[in-house]
Amino acid sequence: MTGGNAGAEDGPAVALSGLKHEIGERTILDIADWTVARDQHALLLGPSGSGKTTLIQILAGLTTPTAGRAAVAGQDLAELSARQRDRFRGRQIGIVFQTLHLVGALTVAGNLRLARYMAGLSQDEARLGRVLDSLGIGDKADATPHRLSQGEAQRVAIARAVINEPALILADEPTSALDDDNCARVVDMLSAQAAECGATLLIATHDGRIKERFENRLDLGLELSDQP
Amino acid sequence: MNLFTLSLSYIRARALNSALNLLLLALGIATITVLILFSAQLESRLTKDARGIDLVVGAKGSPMQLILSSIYHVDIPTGNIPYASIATLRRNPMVDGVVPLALGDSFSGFRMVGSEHSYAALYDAELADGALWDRPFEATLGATVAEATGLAIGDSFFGSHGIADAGGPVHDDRPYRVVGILQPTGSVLDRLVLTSVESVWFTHDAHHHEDEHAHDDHDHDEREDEHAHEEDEHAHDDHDHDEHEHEDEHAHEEDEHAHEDEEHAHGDHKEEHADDDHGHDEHGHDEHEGEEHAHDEHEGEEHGHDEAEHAAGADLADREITALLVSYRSPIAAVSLPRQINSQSALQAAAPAFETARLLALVGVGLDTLRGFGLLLIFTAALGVFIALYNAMQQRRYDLAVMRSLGATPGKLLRQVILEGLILSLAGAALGLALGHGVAEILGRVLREGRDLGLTGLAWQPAEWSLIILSIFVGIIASVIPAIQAYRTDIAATLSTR
Repeated sequence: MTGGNAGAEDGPAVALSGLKHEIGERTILDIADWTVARDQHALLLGPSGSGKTTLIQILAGLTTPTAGRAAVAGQDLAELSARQRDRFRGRQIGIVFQTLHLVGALTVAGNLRLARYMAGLSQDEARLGRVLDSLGIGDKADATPHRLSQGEAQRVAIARAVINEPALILADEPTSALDDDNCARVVDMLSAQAAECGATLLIATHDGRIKERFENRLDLGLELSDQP
Repeated sequence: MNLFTLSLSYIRARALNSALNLLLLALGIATITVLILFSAQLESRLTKDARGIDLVVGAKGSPMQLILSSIYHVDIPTGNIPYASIATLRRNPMVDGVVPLALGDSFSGFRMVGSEHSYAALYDAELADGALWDRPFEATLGATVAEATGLAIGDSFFGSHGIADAGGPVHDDRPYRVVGILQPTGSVLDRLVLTSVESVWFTHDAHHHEDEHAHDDHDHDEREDEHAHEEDEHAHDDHDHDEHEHEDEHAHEEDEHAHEDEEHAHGDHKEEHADDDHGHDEHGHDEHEGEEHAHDEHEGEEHGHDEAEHAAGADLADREITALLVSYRSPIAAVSLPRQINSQSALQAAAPAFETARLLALVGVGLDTLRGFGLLLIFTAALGVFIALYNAMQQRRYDLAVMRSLGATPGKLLRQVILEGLILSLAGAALGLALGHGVAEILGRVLREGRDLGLTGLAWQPAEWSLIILSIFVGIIASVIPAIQAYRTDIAATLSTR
């Protein structure tokens, strides 16, 4: 175990150029150029329907853009085969979904082990314990997800995103349902976890409250102002 | 964490549903397992019991009944055949061996078989203790009989008339003595009491004799009456006397030896009558009383002995046996010997191989029905597993998408779902096989028929492998469609819908 970034090439955490994504006649995304340097956490702003989730899926290699280039940690995703992309996603990208999508059949620890197993990484119980402790849910390792509070569940989702020490953490609307205090706490938590494993954090949100905390912001709402 | 533990977690997550499907499959597998064990053991037992017996010769009737009663000892015999048939058959050049059987009695639910030592030799029986029967009323017990009755060497017992479970009237006039106990042979022999053919004859002679005693007594009375009558009549007429003499002879036919003197006396008596009508009355009367006395004594004590001599004597020709187990000298005998015997009016020849095959075919219909029922259960279970997995895939589409987002290839998800189906079906098969063997073992111990057959669950039939293969098929068939669903999960679309 030499860390999650071991397999990544040099280069910025995210590099987009001439990226376009269309579904039918409708243009979902049109980004001329955007770069996120390593360790420079960034924000993806825009109202719902502005293509934030689509961009996250493109960055995760789950969706292939209709045109342009998307590179994560120096790796052009289009150059990878489907199988390589699955592997790259498992190892280099951690995703915190808006609806957390914890696996209900597994315990908290099981969800974390699942992430390592599916990425083809060996289990590391010590790291698992550390991650849970650092998120304040060390005592929940053997709990099943449906017994967790919303806040606890979100921490588990974050833990699952960082357990493989990825190069890039993608968080989709992590604060939308939270009050101000919790909103700030979650952003702190994400930043701290990202820093701990040397990952770049990219938050997609329409939440204006966290806007000021990030210098690098891509505002999809502005750029695609002609969209309904 | 691996695919196996992941699959187990999913199975556990819907424990009730999984348990029901597993149970359904287990019941189907268990049903068929019991059938496989039962039919295989039945067939092997039928074959083993009939080994070395090419033909059974007995009284006319149902050939299957003849086979059942004289080889498997389960049905009632068809009747008796003359003892002379043995000699006739033994003289036949096509015949290698003839084992006579005299059936009809039982002890404590176990059938008694009067036969020769060659009968025990048919089953390669070895003595656990003591010796084979030799003299009349000596008995050698099969292993199961000895175990069930607790009889040991030197113990004596009474046989009962009839071969029903309850047994008929007890032959309490002459006990059998246990002289030997056989080692288990795994054949019908274990459940038999072996004795000599003579023992069975004598038991039945005694039985008949009891009736005859009554008859005799009656005769005596009559005779006495007649005598009393005679006393008067003698004085007037000789005519009746001949009649009387004649009756006398009849009544004593069985006990010729003992009565010889008496008859002589009568003979004299008659002469006297002929010579002289006078003064004979007292003489005759006295003699007669004396004769009766002797007769009583004779009946009371010397009966068996007397008959033993009697049997060893001249009239074997009048004796009957129940069946003959015949082995051929050459296979060619199978062509002509049965026909040759069947053409005789009194005898019937039945081939065990043919009748056993017929029996198995008959039993087979019932077994096939049950097998169909078992397969139906398995099919239902397969359907249950399929529906459970199919529904699970709907509920799990976010899980599948998450796993893809965590780096799982579609192939891995496919394998996981199929593995889940396989775990369920193989666990069902394991449970079903265990259940089936357990039931077979319990049936073999509890049911009388099971014990008779020697049914055991502690044996493995090659056919059971096919059940395991069937289960693997069931698991794959039931999970392949849900697995393809999982494989095709569009993660982007799934994750976009909330």
